[in-house]
Amino acid sequence: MSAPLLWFDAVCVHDPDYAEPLLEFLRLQIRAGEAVALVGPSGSGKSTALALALGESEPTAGAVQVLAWDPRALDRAGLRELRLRVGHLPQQGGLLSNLTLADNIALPLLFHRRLEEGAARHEVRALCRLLDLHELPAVMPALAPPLLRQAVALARALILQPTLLLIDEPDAGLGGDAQEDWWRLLWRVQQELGVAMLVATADREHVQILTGTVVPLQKRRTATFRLL
Amino acid sequence: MTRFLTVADGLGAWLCALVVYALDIATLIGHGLFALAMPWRMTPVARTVLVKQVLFTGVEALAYVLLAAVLTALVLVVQAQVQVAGLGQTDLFGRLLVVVVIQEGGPLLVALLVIARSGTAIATELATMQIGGEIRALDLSGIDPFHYLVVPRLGGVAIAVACLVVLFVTVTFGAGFLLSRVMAPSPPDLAQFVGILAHNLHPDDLLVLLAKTVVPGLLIAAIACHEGCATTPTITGVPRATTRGVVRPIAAVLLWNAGVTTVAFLT
Repeated sequence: MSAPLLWFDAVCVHDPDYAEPLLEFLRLQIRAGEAVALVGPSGSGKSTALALALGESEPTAGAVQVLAWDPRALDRAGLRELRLRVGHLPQQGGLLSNLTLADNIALPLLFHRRLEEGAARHEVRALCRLLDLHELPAVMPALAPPLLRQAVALARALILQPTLLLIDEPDAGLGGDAQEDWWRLLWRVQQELGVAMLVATADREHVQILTGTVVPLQKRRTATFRLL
Repeated sequence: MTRFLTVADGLGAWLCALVVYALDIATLIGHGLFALAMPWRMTPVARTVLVKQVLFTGVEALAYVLLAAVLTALVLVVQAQVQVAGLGQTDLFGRLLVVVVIQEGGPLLVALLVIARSGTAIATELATMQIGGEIRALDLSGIDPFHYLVVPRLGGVAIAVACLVVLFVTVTFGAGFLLSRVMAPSPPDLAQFVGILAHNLHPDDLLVLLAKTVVPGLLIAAIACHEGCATTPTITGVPRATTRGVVRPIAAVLLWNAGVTTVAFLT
């Protein structure tokens, strides 16, 4: 059996600002080609777990390994190397608002592989065909419909062919049929590319389209609101 | 006594914050210059951002700078000829022009125009990107926001400011000469005009001009980038970054120019 691409061993995260821990004894592992869902309501620590895997924050206790690396032990250059191999699809997509949809997808290729514009466009078109994005409109993300925006953000996360993909609340802002279409697209990408996925979501119903491997998280932190 | 200590405490905290801020900006400029000094390490896509910044800050501002140069020529060059001749101090005319146009007015006016256009634009754009999670998304996809967003803007604004100042000075003198032919009572001919300027232009003046163009360009871009990236995710985050992207570069440029003038005067 292959070594896990992502491995959380009894991971705890405490924030001194909160009485309850953000994560408590989280255990999970993902091997090549697997898809695992972290399912829980808002405030249950899903995004915290993804941040740990990306080396954005550190666990208070326990161990995290990503592609056999401990993110805590990596310096800035090491973290960049790790993030080149781990695709990340943030909430709301995180597309650059001043680039067209196609330019957003091509950006990692142009920046990391220093490809010529033409070669990058060729790779973008090939990936877009796989995602059924045959005619990508030459518009900025703000003018694209939400499902198209999410699909483009997914394409950008996949363009460097990562072995592991971390997805945070993938269907936020989608509704009705678009939500189901989106989960089917994720499933198809996972099947065709064989990329391992960790998906953080509150959507218990649609996540079943992608995977049956679910790690439930409990609500630990209550958001507080203050009127200005 | 307690009130005095409170005031002293507040003043000390403000001074400390000011020093830390100045060090932040100096560090940002230092790292930016280091990256710009090795253009072969710059990715082609970052170079494209730099070129776009030069186009926005430099080329798209040409009309404003040319207008400012012609109006300055009208106000300054023609007035100087008339007034200085009236005072019987015609030998001061050339030096006055060099000091006012090359050393002080030109660089300052161009810097203010660039702050008004590009300082606000950079601070607003980066603040919006920060609040929208775009900068974090870049970082998490392995694209260093410093090298992709900040370094090209530093280089682009510095290059554009230097070019605009050279253009401003040239057009001011050219328009000043032409206008004086029409308006001044006893205008010099072209050879005399150039001779007056050449006679009064010292190598030190060019050093001062260089110091007052390149550094303000870097200051404007660095402060605008800093304010944009350091914005907070609140409803006032973007407007506050925009305001600071204007006010702080103005203060920094005025301080820098005053410092350079003082050093030049003392030496």
